[in-house]
Amino acid sequence: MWDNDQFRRAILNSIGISLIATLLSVIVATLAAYAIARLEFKGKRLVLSLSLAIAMFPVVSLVGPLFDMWRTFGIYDTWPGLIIPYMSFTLPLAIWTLSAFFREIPWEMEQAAQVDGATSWQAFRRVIVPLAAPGVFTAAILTFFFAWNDFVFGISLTSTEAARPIPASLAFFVGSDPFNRPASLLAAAAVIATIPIIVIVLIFPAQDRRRPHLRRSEGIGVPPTWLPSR
Amino acid sequence: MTSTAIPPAPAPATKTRNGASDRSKAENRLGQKLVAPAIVLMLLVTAFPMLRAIWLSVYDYALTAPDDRSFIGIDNYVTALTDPLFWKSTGITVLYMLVTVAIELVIGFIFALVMHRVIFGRGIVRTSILIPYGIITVVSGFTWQFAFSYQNGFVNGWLPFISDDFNWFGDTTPAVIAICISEIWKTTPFMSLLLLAGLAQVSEDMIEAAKVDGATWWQRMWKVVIPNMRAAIMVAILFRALDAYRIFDNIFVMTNGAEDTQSISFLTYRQTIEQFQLGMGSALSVLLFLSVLLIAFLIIKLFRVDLAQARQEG
Repeated sequence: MWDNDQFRRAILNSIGISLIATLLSVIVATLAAYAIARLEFKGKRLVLSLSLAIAMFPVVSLVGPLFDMWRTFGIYDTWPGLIIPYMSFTLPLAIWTLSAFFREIPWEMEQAAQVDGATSWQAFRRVIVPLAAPGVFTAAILTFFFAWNDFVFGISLTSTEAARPIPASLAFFVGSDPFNRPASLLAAAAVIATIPIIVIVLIFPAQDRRRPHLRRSEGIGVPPTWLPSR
Repeated sequence: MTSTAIPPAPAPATKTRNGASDRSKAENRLGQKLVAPAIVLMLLVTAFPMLRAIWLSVYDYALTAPDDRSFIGIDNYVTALTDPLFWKSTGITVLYMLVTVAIELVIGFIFALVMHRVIFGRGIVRTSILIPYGIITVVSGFTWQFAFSYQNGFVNGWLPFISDDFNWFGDTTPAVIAICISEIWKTTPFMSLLLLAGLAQVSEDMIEAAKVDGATWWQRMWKVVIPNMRAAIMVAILFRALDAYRIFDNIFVMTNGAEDTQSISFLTYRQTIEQFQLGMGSALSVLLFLSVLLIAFLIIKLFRVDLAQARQEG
């Protein structure tokens, strides 16, 4: 399977796009989640409602206009062309997860550390970062999961191997004889495409033990309404 | 837990009586600045393209002949709404939605009960129920397609009342059944997670009390548990129905829309991406968006769904 150039490119695309989308999404979501958890401002409910509305959005109705827009901007069939939609659709989930974590952090501890003689940076680095890390990690995992699983954007916003991710590549793969698909090759590719998800599932229980206060959906740590539906 | 729940702490007392203080104004500004990038990103990929779709939908515009773009008003909508193909796709989509949501509600509830009650091997039971949720839809679609295939699938061999060379993808009804089974297998875990969250909110005391009063298991389910998790059930139906209405991946992989199995999402995709009919495709996009809104509205109104429950702003 690795000898097949098409699949090799697709896996590299998937890994690259998913990782970059995850990283950027978590950064943007951290800013928003901090504001939602710690500050009082107008439009807070609007952010939450907008986020939830996105979870119910019919994705296919976006691909036509996005297809046209991305061609105009010159990012059709490129990594950024997929990273941007993945970020937007994972933001709601990341924002919710992170703000739930940030609410639980005892922020007074930062001041306490400063009183004890730590610099602001040390207080942040040694006190806040370790407390926030599990939340950031959970948000990152869920974001990666969505990006990896996506199909609709993957098939409609790419046309060549330059950016086509693995699920799309699987669906388009026909092999040398269109009437007799290479089932074994497809199965091998399918297994490889599933590996990252299995790794994530193995990491999850370990994460869960560290954050007993977020057991609402019992084992996932996030209310399921905010999870990707498939 | 006892009933002496601590009420949520009152809002911070930084607000003064006579309007907002400087401090809270600054906080307001900072908060809005911090959420701005997220809002912009979310709108850039949803609201903006949707507006563009509305604009494109009033043109006769195909990418194969971009210079021939001409304004035609609502002609695209008239064409779509008078075309039997559109109604056929909508009908089949509604069918997928009703069948899968109804079956998943039952199976999902059983799974949720199992996950909630199981004592031994909790981790194993939960993991095995959630496996389909973790598998990429395209992969699960392929797996089911191979399973139903008459060349090398196992389904025909297992079912005694079906001949070995029965082609599931040769006619509409069996193809729809196959797609529904694949879809149900894939999304029941999501449904049961939604229901599990509701089940966890039902107070054990009430169930205990009903038990003491001599209610049978069946009565406890129908009279105590289900009425008390009504909000969660409604949210589960809402989310799953809207998701089922957007069904796309499974159809793409399993039949590629052959034998009249194409959903409205699939029709939209075909028009825009495969046939480059951006004008027509955009009109379909708008119709798809409106129908999702309509379904959401109907479910929320008919079942009086509590959206605060869905938002879960803890």
